Amino acid sequence: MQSLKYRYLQVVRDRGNMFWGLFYPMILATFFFIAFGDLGKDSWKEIPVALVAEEVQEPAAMFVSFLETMDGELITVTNMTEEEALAALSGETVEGIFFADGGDGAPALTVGKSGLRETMLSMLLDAYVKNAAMYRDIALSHPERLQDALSVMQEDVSHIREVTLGGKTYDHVLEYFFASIAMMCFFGCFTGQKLGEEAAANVSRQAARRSISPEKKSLAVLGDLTVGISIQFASALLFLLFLQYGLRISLGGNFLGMALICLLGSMVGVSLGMVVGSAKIKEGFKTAILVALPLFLCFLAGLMFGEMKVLIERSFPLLNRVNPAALISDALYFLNVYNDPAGFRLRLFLLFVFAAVMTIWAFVSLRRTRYDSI
Amino acid sequence: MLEIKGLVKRYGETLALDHLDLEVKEGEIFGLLGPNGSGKTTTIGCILALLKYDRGEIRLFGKEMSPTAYDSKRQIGVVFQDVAVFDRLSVFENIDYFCGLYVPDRAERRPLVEEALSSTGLNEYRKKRPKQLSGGLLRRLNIACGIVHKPKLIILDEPTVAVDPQSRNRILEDIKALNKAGSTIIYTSHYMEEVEQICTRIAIIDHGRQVACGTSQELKEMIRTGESVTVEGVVLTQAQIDEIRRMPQIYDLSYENEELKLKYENSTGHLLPLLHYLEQEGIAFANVFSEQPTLNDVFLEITGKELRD
Repeated sequence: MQSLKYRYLQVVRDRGNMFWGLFYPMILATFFFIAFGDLGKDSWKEIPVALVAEEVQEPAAMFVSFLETMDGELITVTNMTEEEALAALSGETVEGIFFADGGDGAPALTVGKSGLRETMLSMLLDAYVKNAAMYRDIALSHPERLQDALSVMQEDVSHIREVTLGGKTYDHVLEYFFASIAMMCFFGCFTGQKLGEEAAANVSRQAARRSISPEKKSLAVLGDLTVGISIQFASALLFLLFLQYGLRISLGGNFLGMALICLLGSMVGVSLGMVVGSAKIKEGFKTAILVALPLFLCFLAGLMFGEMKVLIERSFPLLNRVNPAALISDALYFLNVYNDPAGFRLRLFLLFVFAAVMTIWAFVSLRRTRYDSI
Repeated sequence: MLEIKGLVKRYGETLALDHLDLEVKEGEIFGLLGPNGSGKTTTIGCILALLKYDRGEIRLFGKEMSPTAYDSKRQIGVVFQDVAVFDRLSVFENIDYFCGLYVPDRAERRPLVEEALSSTGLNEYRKKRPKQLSGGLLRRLNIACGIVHKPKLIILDEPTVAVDPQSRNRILEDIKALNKAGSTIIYTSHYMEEVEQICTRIAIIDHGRQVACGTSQELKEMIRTGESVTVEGVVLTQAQIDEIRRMPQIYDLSYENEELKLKYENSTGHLLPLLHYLEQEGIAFANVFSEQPTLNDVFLEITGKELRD
């Protein structure tokens, strides 16, 4: 107990590691929050848009129906003439103008400026255009099935409404925050590095002094693992609270589930650091590995580019199953957004396997008592 | 207390310990003397069961030494050449932490920590962090962490390297005090004066082998070189030089720039007959001084090279 108390003190007093393990992720998340505005918050406001639909005929009338179904969900639609709409856009009472017939019967969009909300309007139009093409094809090839297809479209819209009303967000900006949670778990590797160095007698004199004592090596290593993982886990919980209550980001309601993911993530991060820390290589090289590896894994998990994980999922999905950062981010997404228990369980299981393997690896590599050279 | 037989340790192709034999008896201050790279630190690593070795046997307190020989480990204290303390703990916390590895009971530990703080003169620095201490104080903290649990055997691996003379004297005095209090000491150094000053028995090792072992006097008696006498500012004729050369036990004489250097075999007390001869002949001189052989002379004669390479 005495030994554990002092090991805790040493880790907590290490300002550098505490910065990287806790405060840096908080700063990064704050930057994300500033950059992406209030997306993801509970107080989501619909985007006001003008709809110019004067004397439209099919197929433009189908677009008007589509926008009407979205009215009050993602957007607030006001019917206007073209002049009124342009005046409203310049007066910033609307953020975009949908033209039901922008030429050749195809809908069009005009926005006043660029931004995330304007991008969402564009994505909405794109989604409609893709579907509309499909319906046109159906009308040409199987006109008798057109009514069924339109019913499916209505169901899709209903699904969107249900998801939204159910408190789940369709906001993929959350990917950045989930990836930042993965990163903060991984940054426990710096604490792990220090603990690893201070437990390997061929790496540091402090470890040699510990090794020659009657303290059992396996207990000492277990103690160090406990110290590192518990401190990183506590930091991760603080980080979750900071996101949820500090930045008021709606991560979803399952805090216990997120805590479990963070615990496994912290085990992976701290164990990785201990394995690298106990290696008899130059300290600068160790630090380089522990900076580059987590950042690379988190990059693949969407930390710098939110769509990265989706791109990998489409082209090489196995990479997302073997990347622990992607597993953390995915598990959070499956828990809070997709509401897919099977997907969540799979990712949690894979993450558990990773955490177990890394922790056992760290334990085995550090419980050595005799060395070829010191 | 400690018995090493035929210890062999290789680092790849390099033979670090070559069938090393050592025996340390209870109550000794046993010096392990040798140049850098002679195998002193490797020997310590093997004794402490930190290093694997290829062949040989190490018995400590009558039992074979191994990483799980916890009873033996409990009775050993080590002061490494490099300072081995934690920067993020205070002086008190460092000593308490390392003591706690040997003495888990807090009530039992507390007086030991206080005693270590007092005996090493660190009481007033107890709340300071190691980075706030001078080099000498840091060395004392290093020693305090190694001896706080009152071990029966204390191993000090070059504890005075890069220490100022004042702190060095203090450390040497502390070592003598620990020995008087009942601890057996193994002291490694390449500073022969220190070893000669405090050690009751000395083993000289070179290339991983023990080349000589005994008290300082016994080691000096092993070699041909005895007393050396130098006379400065003296003018001699060739006949007088020849006369002096014929004096008993002189085996080497040199005369250059009015300086006469004489080397005698083994024994001491050659100065008076020489001075008597010079007075009798009416030969004037400026200075005369006599020197006893040093451990460096021992090392030089046995190995053919200087101790301080």
